[in-house]
Amino acid sequence: MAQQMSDLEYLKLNKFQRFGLKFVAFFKAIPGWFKNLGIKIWAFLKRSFWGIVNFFKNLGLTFWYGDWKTKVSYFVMGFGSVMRGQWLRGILFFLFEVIFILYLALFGGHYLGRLYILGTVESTIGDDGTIVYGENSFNILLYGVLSLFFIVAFIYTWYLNIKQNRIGEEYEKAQKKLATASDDVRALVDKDFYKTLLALPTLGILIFTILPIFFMILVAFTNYDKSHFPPQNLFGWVGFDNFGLLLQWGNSEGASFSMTFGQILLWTLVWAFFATFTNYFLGMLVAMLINKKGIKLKKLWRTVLVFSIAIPQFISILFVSNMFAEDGIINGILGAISGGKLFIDFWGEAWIARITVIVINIWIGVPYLMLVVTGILMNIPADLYESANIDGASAWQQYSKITLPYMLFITGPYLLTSFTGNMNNFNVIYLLTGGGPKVQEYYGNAGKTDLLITWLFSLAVNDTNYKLAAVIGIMVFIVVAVLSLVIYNIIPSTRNEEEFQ
Amino acid sequence: MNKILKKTLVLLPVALLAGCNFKYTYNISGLVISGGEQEDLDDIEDAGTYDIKVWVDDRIVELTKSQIGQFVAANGGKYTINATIEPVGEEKAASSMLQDVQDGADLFCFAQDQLSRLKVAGALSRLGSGYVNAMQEEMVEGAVDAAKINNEVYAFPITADNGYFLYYDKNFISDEDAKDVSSIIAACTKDPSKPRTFNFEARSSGFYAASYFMATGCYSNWELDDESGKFKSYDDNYDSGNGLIAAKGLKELDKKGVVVSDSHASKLGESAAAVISGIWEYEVNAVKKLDEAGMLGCAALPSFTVDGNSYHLSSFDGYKLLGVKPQVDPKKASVCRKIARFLTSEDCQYERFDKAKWGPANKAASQKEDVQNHKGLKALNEQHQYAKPQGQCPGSWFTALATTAKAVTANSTDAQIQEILANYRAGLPELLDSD
Repeated sequence: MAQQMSDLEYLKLNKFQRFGLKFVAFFKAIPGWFKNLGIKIWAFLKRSFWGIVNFFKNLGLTFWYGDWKTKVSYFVMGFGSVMRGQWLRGILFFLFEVIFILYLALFGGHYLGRLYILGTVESTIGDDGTIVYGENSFNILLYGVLSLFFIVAFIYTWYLNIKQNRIGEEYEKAQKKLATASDDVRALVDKDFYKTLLALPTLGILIFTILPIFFMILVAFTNYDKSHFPPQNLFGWVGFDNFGLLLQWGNSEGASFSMTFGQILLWTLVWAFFATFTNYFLGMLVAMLINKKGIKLKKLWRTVLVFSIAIPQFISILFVSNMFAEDGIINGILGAISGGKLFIDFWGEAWIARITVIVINIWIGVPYLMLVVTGILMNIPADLYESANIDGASAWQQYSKITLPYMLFITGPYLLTSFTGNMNNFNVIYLLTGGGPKVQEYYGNAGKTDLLITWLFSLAVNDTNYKLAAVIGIMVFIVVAVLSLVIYNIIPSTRNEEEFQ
Repeated sequence: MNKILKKTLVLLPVALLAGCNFKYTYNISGLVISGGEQEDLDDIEDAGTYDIKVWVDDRIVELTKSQIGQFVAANGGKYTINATIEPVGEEKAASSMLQDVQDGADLFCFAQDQLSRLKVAGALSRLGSGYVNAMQEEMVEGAVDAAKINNEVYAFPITADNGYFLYYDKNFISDEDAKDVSSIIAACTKDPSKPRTFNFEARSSGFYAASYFMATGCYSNWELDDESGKFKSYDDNYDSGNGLIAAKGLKELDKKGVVVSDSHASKLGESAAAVISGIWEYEVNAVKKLDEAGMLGCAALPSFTVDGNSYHLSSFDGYKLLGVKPQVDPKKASVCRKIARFLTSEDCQYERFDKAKWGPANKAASQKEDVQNHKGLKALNEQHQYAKPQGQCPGSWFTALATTAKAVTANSTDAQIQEILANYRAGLPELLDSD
């Protein structure tokens, strides 16, 4: 193995032997990875356990040894702070407690109490055309989750309140001065100004990003679809049943779903690969051609290419989609030059449609890459090329040993985001093909050019199948996260510049 | 908060897809005059002021506004209707009602194939026998059946024109050619210097592909469960000898560059010589232009020939319906039904034909001379004898049939076609759960 042989022995091997060596080493290392992973998980669990134990231990000790003001603060938040002269903090703690209790008693408690079953009373329609609305599973899930968030926030604030009392007591014992209300206000615009600035964005992210994501994840564990659509119908928890569909084989609905998921995932990866790298290398080629000495009218070529960026993308895509339609201009021209014999069903045949979307994506993406790459190319030190010329390096050697490594170092993170972005490139696919051509063997109206994201959209909006759309959403996240982590560790940009050079 | 999420989830795509539409809101307060016969059907005391939201196609927004005004006038000062009339087409109306019934319209137009889904979603309620009996007397044959689920009626028929027929350009297609699919295709390629297309969506749409199967006697009947409102069983013979004949007929449409899988009439008179579509395409400029030039032909669907036998293409007898959303207030429910009945009455349906060329479902309105002489409606009427009622079936059945039709046209041997039909049959149980 590479580790057991000397560097000299390793260098004597040919390319295939080195590859074989690394290949075997890769698989031999797998058990070690799992062992390390297990060790890390165990350490994390141990740390978490002791963290929780210490949390409760501290709470108990603070209560046991604390003075009466601290003890009352366990039940009336902010009491100790007010008694110690920190009335602003005390009042805020107390207000938060009052709001929390009122929220739970008057509103959130009801939804939280029904969260385990998501409702039992269905709406009923009478013969006279009247409706009596029952429970709404959507509202129960949404406000139930909101209430859970509120409870977590309350526990954290309650803990801060206790901590504040402990600090207060310590300060009193040490006869140190506690921060007054005016000190607190001053700190918010001075020492703790970051808290003031971050308060609103954090709240916004919590409500408009974290909460919906959490909600979406929970939907994947329900049967929320058109047959269970509130307010007329209820939906409920189904555990991992929806995820179970991904693992079924044979002749069942689940098998059809898992097969379709597998096929679409594969095409999504193939698409992301080609969409990213064709644009990357062709964009680089175009930029190098335009930058080359001796090329005239450089500004004109750049302007012509940038024109395609100037037009809103969805308009260009819709227009191109019509151009390639059965009776579009492309088939019109093909028919005219071949006397009606030549015809290509661009959107009707799976492989032709797949190749066409990749080619059209090149047309859309190359100008962007050309612009990005132009700036980087200009920054490659010219003396590197001069030295290479003196050493007699060919154009290809200069490209593969200087230009490409430099480009990969600089644009590595861009390539990664571009790859993950292309996996979720909704616009190009949806507007060009609508996911089609649709085929008999695919589940849920999916087509041969559908990406996971367009299929998700179709399931949610056209089929009202939120449960499976949520499952696909989670799977897309997992795939993108794993790929991002792996690629991020491979790209040269993560190493330092000295190492690169 | 859920409003924000629901709005984002439901209205954002709707708004994006529908584009910028104007919203018409107005207030009508009429004088007291004697009540019409509709009071007999809903005999509760329902005088008062009501806020009513109506979704109709953008072409009849102004007309609907005027007709609700007529309803108020006909009932004197009994009702004050604050009507909000929004331009929401049938397809969008159905999907929006399914997304959020509570926020949806009180009255809305939709295509009959959405009836069962809307009923399950709680967007429709059963109509009483008074309304049903009156409708059965006044509406054309099949119209009330289109609004039925398991013998209960859930909506008011507003048009009887949701089927399809053949539009053709007489410059290229003779009246004789228009009777046969092969002749139409041959006529399109007769002059190589002016090649034309035959636009027929049967290769990629179940709605149109069914015309071949029903022509050979195939059927696909779906039964709904009374309690859950879900489909519980089906009786389907598309995978049969007759299905094979239909599939072989469909293969004729695999004429690349000549038969285009499309149902828009906007290319008629330009690249297309014949288009199979519905009355909704009658008002597009290309059709109007051809009509003005005296070269527009409209006819029943053509026939196709397989193994020496000729089959006349079938179609769905489609209807558009006016739905009334169940209400919390019984008085408002009563008033909404009365307005719906008024909007689907003889005068209103005829006025709708006059202004927007919608084919009436009302018997008396459909028998008026100018309705009878309308080229498109006349063609639909001719096709009626070959058409089958479009019963309730899962929406995904159309997709399954579309992919089957596509697979059939891409394969040639009988054995391959039979395998495709067997795959279609194997996929049917899955559809029971999908809708």
